[in-house]
Amino acid sequence: MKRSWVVFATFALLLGASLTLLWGVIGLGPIKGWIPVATFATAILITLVMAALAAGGARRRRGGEGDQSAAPRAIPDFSFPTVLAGIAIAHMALGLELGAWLIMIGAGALAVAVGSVAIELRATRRAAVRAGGEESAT
Amino acid sequence: MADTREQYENVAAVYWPIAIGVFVLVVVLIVAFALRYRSDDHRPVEGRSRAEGLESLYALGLACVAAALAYLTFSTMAELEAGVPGGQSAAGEVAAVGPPALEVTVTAARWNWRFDYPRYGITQVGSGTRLPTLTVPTGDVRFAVTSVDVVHSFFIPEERYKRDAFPERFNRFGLRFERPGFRRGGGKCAEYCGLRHSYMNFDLRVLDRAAFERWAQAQRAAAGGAGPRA
Amino acid sequence: MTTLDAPPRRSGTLSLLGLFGSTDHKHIGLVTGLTAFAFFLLAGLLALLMRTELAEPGLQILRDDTYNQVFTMHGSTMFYLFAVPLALAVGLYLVPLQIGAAEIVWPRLALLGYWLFLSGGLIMYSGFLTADGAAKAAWTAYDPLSDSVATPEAGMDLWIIGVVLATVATMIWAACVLATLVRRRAPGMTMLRIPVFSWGMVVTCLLVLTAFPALVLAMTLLYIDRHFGGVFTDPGGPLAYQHLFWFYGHPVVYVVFFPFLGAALEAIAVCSRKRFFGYHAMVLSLLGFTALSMSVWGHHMFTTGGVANRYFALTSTALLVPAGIEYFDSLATMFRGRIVVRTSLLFALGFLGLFLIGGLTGILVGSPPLNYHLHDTYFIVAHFHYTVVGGTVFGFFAGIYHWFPKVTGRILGEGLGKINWALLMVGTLLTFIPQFFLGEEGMARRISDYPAYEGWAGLNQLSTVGAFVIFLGVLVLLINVARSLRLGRVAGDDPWGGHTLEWTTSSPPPRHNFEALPPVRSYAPLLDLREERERARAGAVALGADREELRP
Repeated sequence: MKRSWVVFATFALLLGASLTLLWGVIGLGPIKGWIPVATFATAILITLVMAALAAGGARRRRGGEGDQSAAPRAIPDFSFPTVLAGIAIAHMALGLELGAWLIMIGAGALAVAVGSVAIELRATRRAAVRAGGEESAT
Repeated sequence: MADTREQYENVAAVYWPIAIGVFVLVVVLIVAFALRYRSDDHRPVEGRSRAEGLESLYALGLACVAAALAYLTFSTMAELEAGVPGGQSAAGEVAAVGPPALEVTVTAARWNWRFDYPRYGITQVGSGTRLPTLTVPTGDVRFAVTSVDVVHSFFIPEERYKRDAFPERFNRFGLRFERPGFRRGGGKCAEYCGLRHSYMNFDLRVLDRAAFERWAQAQRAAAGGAGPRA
Repeated sequence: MTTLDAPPRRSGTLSLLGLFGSTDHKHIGLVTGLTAFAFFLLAGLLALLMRTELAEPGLQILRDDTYNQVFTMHGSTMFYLFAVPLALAVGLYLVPLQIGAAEIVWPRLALLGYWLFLSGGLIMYSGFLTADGAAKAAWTAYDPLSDSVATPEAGMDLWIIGVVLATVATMIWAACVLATLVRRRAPGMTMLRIPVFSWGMVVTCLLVLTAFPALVLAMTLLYIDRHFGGVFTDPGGPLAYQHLFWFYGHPVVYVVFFPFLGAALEAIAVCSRKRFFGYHAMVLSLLGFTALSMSVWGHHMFTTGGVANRYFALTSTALLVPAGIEYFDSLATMFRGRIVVRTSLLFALGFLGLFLIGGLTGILVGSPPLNYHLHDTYFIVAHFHYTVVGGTVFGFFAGIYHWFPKVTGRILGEGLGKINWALLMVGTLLTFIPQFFLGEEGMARRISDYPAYEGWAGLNQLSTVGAFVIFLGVLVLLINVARSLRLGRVAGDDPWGGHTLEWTTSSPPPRHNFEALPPVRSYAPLLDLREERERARAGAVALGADREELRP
């Protein structure tokens, strides 16, 4: 099996079989029976999306899957803006409980973090181009 | 109406020996292999690492065991559900058969129980200092369980049965009581319901039919002789 | 071939700050794993509190309200903050190494995940600092118990926020690991050549991405219900919550199982000096196991009267088929192997035995007639502790002893290791076997106290003693780790004769993992190479060559 999308497709098929058994043969249950169908269907949908992404990605890459370009992808060793982003999101979530002021502070920090990550990405891409690889930036 | 205790014992009598047998077999194999195949030879072992035919056969065998267990479980469930209105059944409600058994309405609240006997118009309620007592006659009794606040669970260990108590819903089932007597703490709340969940127990008193009839009439008289409540 | 010097120093010293901001998947995995383990120790202390309280009838050290917070936080920590993050952490560290990748996909996202996880854990625990204490509606937070009428306190809201943050982090990591498995495999490594542990991670990530959204939805709806009302208020509301929760709640126990099953199987194969048996059967059974695990959630709701009991009984019983295949393959790997009994193998075998207790009792309570008696009693508590302690903890410890050399460059002591194992075996059996009997006798779960007339004190005392034996076992592990980091034998690249790619690189691996990769022709590429060399040597000897000439 060379193509990983087969794994996702198989899984979606198995889930579909399970759902069919529940819905078609045995019955959903007396109360809120639509919820099992909805959750199963969502799970199958997510799996199919992953299958499509896996298949699409494989076709895009020349030489199929497992083809690693010779140069390692450029990535900085540390990314403190990412750390800030995580902490900022957490503060916004905490602000739901402690008050809007904390949500605002978190949002501000997140904006700074996202901006810094953008700068970081641009710098990484420039460094990769300078080093001679055209597709290496992550 | 089925005897929940008997059904439990019937199913357990099959499941437990299989479980213990499988466990002993696997542990013996693990220990035997670990001891028998010890070696100081550092070279890797070349040999078969697949046996699709054997594994398929084995999987088929496992599926047969699963099917047999499922069959036993399903047939027991069918017996449990027969004759109980609103009982768990894939086909929907099943009408009651035979003479109408006594009905008890159980209401769970944080953190006590109330038992209503519509036929007699009497009510038994626990207080802050005394556990309520569920008094039932020997034979079949039908229950309808509900809650006024959070989810509780009506659990009588000696009957090998419990049913959850949901707000705004009734769960109906039947139990068969055999031994007359008083069981202190014979009933419990089995669904965590907050601060005093640990203390939400009730006593169980089983009376033979004549004694129960006398008890019910005495309770009714003491309550003022009002007619059966709806 | 590196000589056995002290483990190579990374270029420049890595400060503590750097470790927490690194984009190296190894650092992210390590830091996540260590944080998760710290939460494990915290939850373990909470367990000791509970067991001490329950040893005797009557309340000795905790008030009812405090006990309820303690058991809620014990379960919540173990699932949301220890077992699930750890399951992804081992994948973050090991998957790129096992598939020959230089890096994971989206390293910044993975780093973001760590900070969401840590924040979520801290926010969850901040409940203890509030006036009314931490959340106290159990790790399952059933509605209506968790709604604003029954549990209005802020601790509950903080808990919900913490759970969502930690769970979102897990989903981010699963996406990174799965994308890495799809995109960054070494040349020649098809999906049917990735190592067994990596297959465990494939199905783990599948479960996380398809089942965890249900929890995020349930928590969001619960939060909305608490603050604006109207979500779970119709008569079917509480049941709707349970459906959503358990659609996540059953798969999560497989998420915390599959990676550590993979770890145990790797340890077994390497210690048996034999390639894993029945790889294709195992892959099929893992996929089947995973699909089934998403189809059984109603078995937590058999006593509600609101689900299709027959369907869930059937799917739950069917679980024994893939489980049986996995046990067969494990034993067949050991059969006619050349076994060396290391601590990693002991933990892997302990995993097989203890998890089996959990699995068999699981089939038992998967039968509704039995479930009607045993549900919500200590029988269930014992059942799932065998699957999580026997499964997650023992599998993880097998992985620790197996991969510690790769991560740190030093080997964990075998003497202390065996003591560690023995204490945990005895402790786990002593703590939870009595609980099967307690449950059968009708002792309900989540109770802070029981009456003296029930006669349950003796079994409870045994269980409490067992809990402290487990505590001692974990202590021995910590001592072993601390000691071995300084004084342990230097490992080199491949101390065990490993089968998979991570053993071709240095210990610990360099920033981008590999200098060069060997050819990949199966799921045990190093074993292939070794067998080839053996055959060549035997062939040359047969032709009369001097043994000396054949040394590599």
